[in-house]
Amino acid sequence: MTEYGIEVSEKDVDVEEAQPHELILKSGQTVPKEVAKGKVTMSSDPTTVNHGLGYTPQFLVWATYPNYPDYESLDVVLLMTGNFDAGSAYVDTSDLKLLPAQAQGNDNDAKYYIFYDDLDGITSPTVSDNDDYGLEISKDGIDVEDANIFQQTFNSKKNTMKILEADITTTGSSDIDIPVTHGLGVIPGYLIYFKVGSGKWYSTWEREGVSGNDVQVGAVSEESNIYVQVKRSGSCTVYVRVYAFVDPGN
Amino acid sequence: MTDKYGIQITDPDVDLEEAIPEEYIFNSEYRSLRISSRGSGSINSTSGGGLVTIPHGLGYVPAFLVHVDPGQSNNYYIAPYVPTGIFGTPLIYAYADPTNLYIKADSAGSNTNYTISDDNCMYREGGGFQSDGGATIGDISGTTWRGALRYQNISLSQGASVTSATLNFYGGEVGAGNLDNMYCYGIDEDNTDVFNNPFSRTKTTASTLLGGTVPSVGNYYSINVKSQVEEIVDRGGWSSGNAMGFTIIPLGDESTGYMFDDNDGTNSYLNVVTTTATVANYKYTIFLNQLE
Repeated sequence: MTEYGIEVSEKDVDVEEAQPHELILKSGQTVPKEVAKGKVTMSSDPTTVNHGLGYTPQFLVWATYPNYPDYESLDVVLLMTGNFDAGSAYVDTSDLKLLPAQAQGNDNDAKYYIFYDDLDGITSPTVSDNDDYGLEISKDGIDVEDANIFQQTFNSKKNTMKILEADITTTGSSDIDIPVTHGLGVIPGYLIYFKVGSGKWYSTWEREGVSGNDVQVGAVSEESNIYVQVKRSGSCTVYVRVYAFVDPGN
Repeated sequence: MTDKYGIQITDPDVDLEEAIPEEYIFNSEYRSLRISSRGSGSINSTSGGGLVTIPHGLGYVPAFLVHVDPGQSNNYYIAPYVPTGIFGTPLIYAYADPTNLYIKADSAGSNTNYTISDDNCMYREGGGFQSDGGATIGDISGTTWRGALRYQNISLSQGASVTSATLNFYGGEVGAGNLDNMYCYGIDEDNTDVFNNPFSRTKTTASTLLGGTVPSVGNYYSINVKSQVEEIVDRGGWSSGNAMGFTIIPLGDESTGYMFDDNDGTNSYLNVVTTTATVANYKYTIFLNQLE
């Protein structure tokens, strides 16, 4: 281990012996830095949130299911494309565009997080960081006094997504909803990943054919639990990793 | 929070001693997403099997986040991309193993059966007799018959190409024998009107020669009409939702059997299969966070 920088290990992990993935923070590892977050009511199609970055950033959005059977009005789901009952979301170079639910007739709410991008090719970032307080860690070889936001691995003025992890295993042939108690006191944002048997890991709601059967895994987040929903047409074992964000999804 | 260890950084103007979890910028009590690598590119479902393989070099399965821009219009969505609704089939999706992140694009497809809606969509002529009460092809007691079929609300855009198109002629009543030297044409019109002696209408250049044994009653005789369908939808005046027709005409009297679709419940139908390539840009983040 090179003896410089900041390293924070997970609880009960010796920082001297920690593997890279066992570190909460390491000055050489970039943490996604939040540009903006907010909550809007999707009252128009689309509802527009200006990010003003001049490029298409990565983002996460969760939205409510108003008046949808089986769900409470504040429960949220990750907004991907084609979610007839919750809507969808996309970014262009200036805005986050939120398309409301089509099925229910009532406006639904969305909570969004937009992150700075640092892909090669972005040579003229529209943001800079001149405030001289807090903790800033620059990338290797970059003077921290001169680093712009893209050249920082960590900036204490920019929120990071804080996560709790949970693992689920379910073996069977029927559809099942599995509650994952999070205890966060908020309705958290989330990401889930799953694999079927010894297969590869997919992001949420992918369909994986297993011996001719299809498996879909999704989730709904609510005040006490994240409900992981497994739909399958045949007997199989499904493994799910849940990332519950301390950062609210509503 | 009561544990007095680690690093905690709160939002501006939030007292560290009183902060609730969501008011932390950073808190070493929680894990955070940490970036291993990021990148971008494009994908085409008809190239390279529609698969992009991105080595991550981590030796374990990492968490990841992918955004996709279907249609390459600089509008990025969280993957998977499911244009037909949340319970539909994803067209663009991502998955990972200990070696790579994979981004996969599948072509969109449709498989549609168009059925006869009323008597004005069928026609038969033989021995001077004409009727819209069904369609007959072949030979009945020395009289050669020709038939026509019309299908409405064809969901094909102007200029569309199809993977396959098959006209399945139903034998509600059959006479054993062969169907020989008969040709199936499309009716070369923008929007084929109801039938009233349709055999004088302009035919497509494309045609299909029939041949072989008449199937047993209650079965279908399948005719490849892909070229006829594409010729019709290529017309400048064609638009999705229009009606399309076909005629089956003997050029001689070689047929010895017949088929009669009597429009009595089960009918002849047109099956059309289309495939549309999925082309998209993508952006990905591979995290150091380990899934497995």
